[in-house]
Amino acid sequence: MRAPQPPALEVRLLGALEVRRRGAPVVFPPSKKTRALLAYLVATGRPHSRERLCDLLWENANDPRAELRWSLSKLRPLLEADGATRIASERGRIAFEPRGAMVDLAWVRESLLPAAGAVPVDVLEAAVERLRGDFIEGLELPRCRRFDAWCAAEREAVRVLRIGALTALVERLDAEPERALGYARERLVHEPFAEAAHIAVIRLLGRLGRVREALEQHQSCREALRRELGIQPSRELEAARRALQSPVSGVATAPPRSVEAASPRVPKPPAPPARRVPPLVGRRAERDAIQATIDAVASSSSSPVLLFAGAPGIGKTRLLEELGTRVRDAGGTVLAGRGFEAELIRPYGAWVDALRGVAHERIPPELRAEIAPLLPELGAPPAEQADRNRLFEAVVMLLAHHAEDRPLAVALDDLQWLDEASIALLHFAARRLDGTHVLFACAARPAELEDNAAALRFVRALDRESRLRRIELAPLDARHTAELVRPLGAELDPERIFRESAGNPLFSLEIARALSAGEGAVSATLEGLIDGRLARLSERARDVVPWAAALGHDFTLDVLSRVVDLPPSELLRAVEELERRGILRAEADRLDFAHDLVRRTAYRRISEPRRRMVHDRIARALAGVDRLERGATVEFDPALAGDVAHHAALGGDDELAARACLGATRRALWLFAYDDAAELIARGIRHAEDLPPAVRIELQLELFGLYVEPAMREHRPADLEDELTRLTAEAQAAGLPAEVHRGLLHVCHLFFHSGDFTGALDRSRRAEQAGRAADPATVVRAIAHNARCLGMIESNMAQAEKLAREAEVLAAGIEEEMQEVPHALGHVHYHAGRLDEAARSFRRAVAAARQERDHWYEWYCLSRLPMIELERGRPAEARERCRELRPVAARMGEGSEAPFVEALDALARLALGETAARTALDAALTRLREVDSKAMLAYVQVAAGDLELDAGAIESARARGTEALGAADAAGRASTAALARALLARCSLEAGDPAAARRHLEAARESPGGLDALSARARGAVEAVAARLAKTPT
Amino acid sequence: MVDVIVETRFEEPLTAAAHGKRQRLLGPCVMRNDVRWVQSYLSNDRRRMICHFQAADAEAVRMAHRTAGVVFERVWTAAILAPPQEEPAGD
Repeated sequence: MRAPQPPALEVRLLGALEVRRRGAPVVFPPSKKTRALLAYLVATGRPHSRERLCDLLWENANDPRAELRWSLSKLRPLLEADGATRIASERGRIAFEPRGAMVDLAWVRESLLPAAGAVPVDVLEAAVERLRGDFIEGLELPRCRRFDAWCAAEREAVRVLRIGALTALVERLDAEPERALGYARERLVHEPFAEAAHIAVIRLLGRLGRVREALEQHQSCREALRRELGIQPSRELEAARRALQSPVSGVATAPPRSVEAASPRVPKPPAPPARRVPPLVGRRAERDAIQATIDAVASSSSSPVLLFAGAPGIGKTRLLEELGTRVRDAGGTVLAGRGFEAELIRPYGAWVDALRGVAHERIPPELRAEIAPLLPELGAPPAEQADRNRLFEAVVMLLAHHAEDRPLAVALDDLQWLDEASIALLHFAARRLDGTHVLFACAARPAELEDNAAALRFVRALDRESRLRRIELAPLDARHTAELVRPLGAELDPERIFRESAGNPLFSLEIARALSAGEGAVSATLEGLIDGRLARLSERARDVVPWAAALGHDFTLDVLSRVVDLPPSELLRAVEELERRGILRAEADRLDFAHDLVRRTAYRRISEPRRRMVHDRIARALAGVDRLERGATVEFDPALAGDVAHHAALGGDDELAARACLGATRRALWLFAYDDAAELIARGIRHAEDLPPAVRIELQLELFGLYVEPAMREHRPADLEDELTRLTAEAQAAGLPAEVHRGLLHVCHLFFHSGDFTGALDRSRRAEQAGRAADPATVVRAIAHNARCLGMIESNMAQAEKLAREAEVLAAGIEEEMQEVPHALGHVHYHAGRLDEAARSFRRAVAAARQERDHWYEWYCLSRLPMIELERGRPAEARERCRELRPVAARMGEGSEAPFVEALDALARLALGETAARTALDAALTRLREVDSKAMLAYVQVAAGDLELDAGAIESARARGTEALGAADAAGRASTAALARALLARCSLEAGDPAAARRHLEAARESPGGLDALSARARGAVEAVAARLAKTPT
Repeated sequence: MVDVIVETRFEEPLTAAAHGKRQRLLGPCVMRNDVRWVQSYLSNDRRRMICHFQAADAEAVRMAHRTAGVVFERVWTAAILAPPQEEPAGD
């Protein structure tokens, strides 16, 4: 065997990442990302640009380059040995240079390079030994997608290497079936659905004369193939079975028991039932600290935040439980939640779990709607979500309410995995509830805390404010370890357990369990022990474990029953066994693994192909879909969308994952969890990448569109506009008008938010054009909306008429009366001088606006009616309309509405011959000037000037005409300006100045768009004066 | 173009989300009425806001708000008074 000598430096990538100098392990910096960087540089063995490394690990960091520099500065001294530096940096590229360092994975690859037949057996065995560890075990970074994808690929490559080495060994050890069998079985663990692996085991068992076991193996293979893959056994498998009974196999063939009779693996005697909560031994100082904190909080003198820190299995959770017990004993309440490592994005997940600890009837009614965003079971949330603070404030009030006269503890475990939103709420609550009866306690793994920026900020801030009471948990001593394991068996050897566990309580308990289960040699690792415990479960319980592990966080029996293919009674028995054996624990109606290490170990036992199948089924069960039709709308329970996205992603269903990301993003935005929203959008976009074009475009446009929300400004990609434009163009090319419409609207809003109104207007127009192919109601509204806008500002009335007519035709097929359609038509008729029709249309618009409770549009359309009556020469009717209009205008508050009504009424009175109305008119005009409503001012002054000129007051009329012209020009009202010019021309004619009159008419004719663009009334006025002028001798 | 000031008072402190919503609603209407948003001042207690726009007249700004259903207290045309510009100091 080519056993390597302890080299100057050794990097181990198989199993947990390790660096050894002359055989002695060196201590790593706590940051997982720093370790990940080392693994990446060593495993790839080639130079990488700084950009690439930043993208790999610090994609979302504020200053990725600084983070990279920091990590490199920590790695350099670590890798120095024999005076050689091994991190090379040249022209912005970073590389690991081995310089004689030994890298296990490289050694394995090199050793297995020759054809399998040429590799000596001892080398194969050494390689298999090394390959038993997974690639950089435990170094997952779910939030660094590039790193994670690379890591998954490396692990798959290691799996292939491992299977290759095992297969080669089984073949090479053909002459030693006993020795070969061990490796054949090991291969089966990694390839549970590979028939060839089963066949090898069956054949070896046959050759060893263990026919019954061989038959059981055959049966278990058939079962697995049918259950998991839905396929029939191959000819080879059946041939292997037949060979067992043929004399050729050369073994005594006692008639085999029928497979049914051969009981399917009798479970070993059950281990002594684990106590739900192991005893708390030792920890005197910690208990005192807990009691002191409870006392301080009870007297409201101060509220320190407790933080239990320590390695996995050291007993943090147990101390949180102790705190809970003491608070309950003091008559208080405990609300508990925890973070989960899985790549799940559950905004406020820990808080949702914690708040579910409050009985509904004990939530004050006035807070229910406010808390409902977190606990949908409370009923409808507030109609309008104001912001994050309102939600936080409601949670604070709820906590304060329950802590009025007795202590309340909020216990959040695994702080290092809490999402940003949960941390923000925790920070807010801890600040606001300082000096109350509310106690906050958390537990965290310090090494992993380094990788959660939000959690780290929270801890540091509390520390600065001297509010953090941090308790570092040390291992137990020999005496306490003995005390801990004693209940598991009097015959156990506590000294050995202490020696092997180094005083880690979870490790000690696992060793004790293994020893009491009769295992002489116990695994040297905690994971190995847990693995052994899982292997000793009954088959039924073992079937349930992968599903529970894949669910990723606590779950209800109901969820489990939806994914596990077992009759309810069987499932219940399996869950009971898992509880009895301390694998699962129940809290109220929820189940969870007794420790996260148990869940992780259980999850690692699931093979890759099976994981995909398991997650796929979970995703579908949670989403309530059997099969997702292309482009189908899926209505998720929004609270589950994040879970569906996670499982669909791991299950390889990209469409379901992308749709679920969309749902989960909307929920995150609604809960003001913007960091989570950004992460979900990015994931959704990635999942949609390889979908068929129509589905991809639809999903990506929706997802990118969510970045346009003003609150997402900080998270927007720099090239958002380009992305939206590109997708819109693709939608255009693919003939997807609804998507084109959506894309243009997103760009329009994006432009608007960045202050580019011209760009926004352009996109809005194009969106209106694209919208024509969308659903009928949307089309009608979009078209009529544009027509109405044009009408209101008297711009491009030809276009307004075209659009309004089109909307009118299309609206005929729609039941609901849309205010926009009659309103737009009113402007069109008015412009064309069809005053009766205009009045009727505006009336309809008034009724629709009332229906929609839109007071301003009601006022606006109603205000057109007295104008029309005045123009029709019916001042008495105009006064009637003004009486109707006055109360509506009064509701509008300070503005132009009320003075405009008074001005119209005064005009009607003047027309009726009431000269006293002039005072009211001037007062109304003063108000219109004050509020600076130029279009209204111009309209009223033209009408007033016409009346005065009819009464022979030339100068006064001219003054009004001059003011009207200036105001109309400034407001861009061409028709009103032309009316003012016509008035001024008339004044000039009356004053005997036809040359001046001609100049006014010329100017009117030169208005933008010419006479044709003007309203019928304006054209009529200009033509009438022109006709008079023509008759006037020059 | 004139400078137009919009005064707004809020019963509840204006939140970022509510402000975002105002912006969203106002967007298209401001565009159509040829109104340019210059800047806004929000009081520290977030209960009062002054917005500065440029438009043909105050009515255009008012109409933009009305058509969007965005509330305001007062809209008025303003003259901008500012301290005399200082000459940049020479070396």
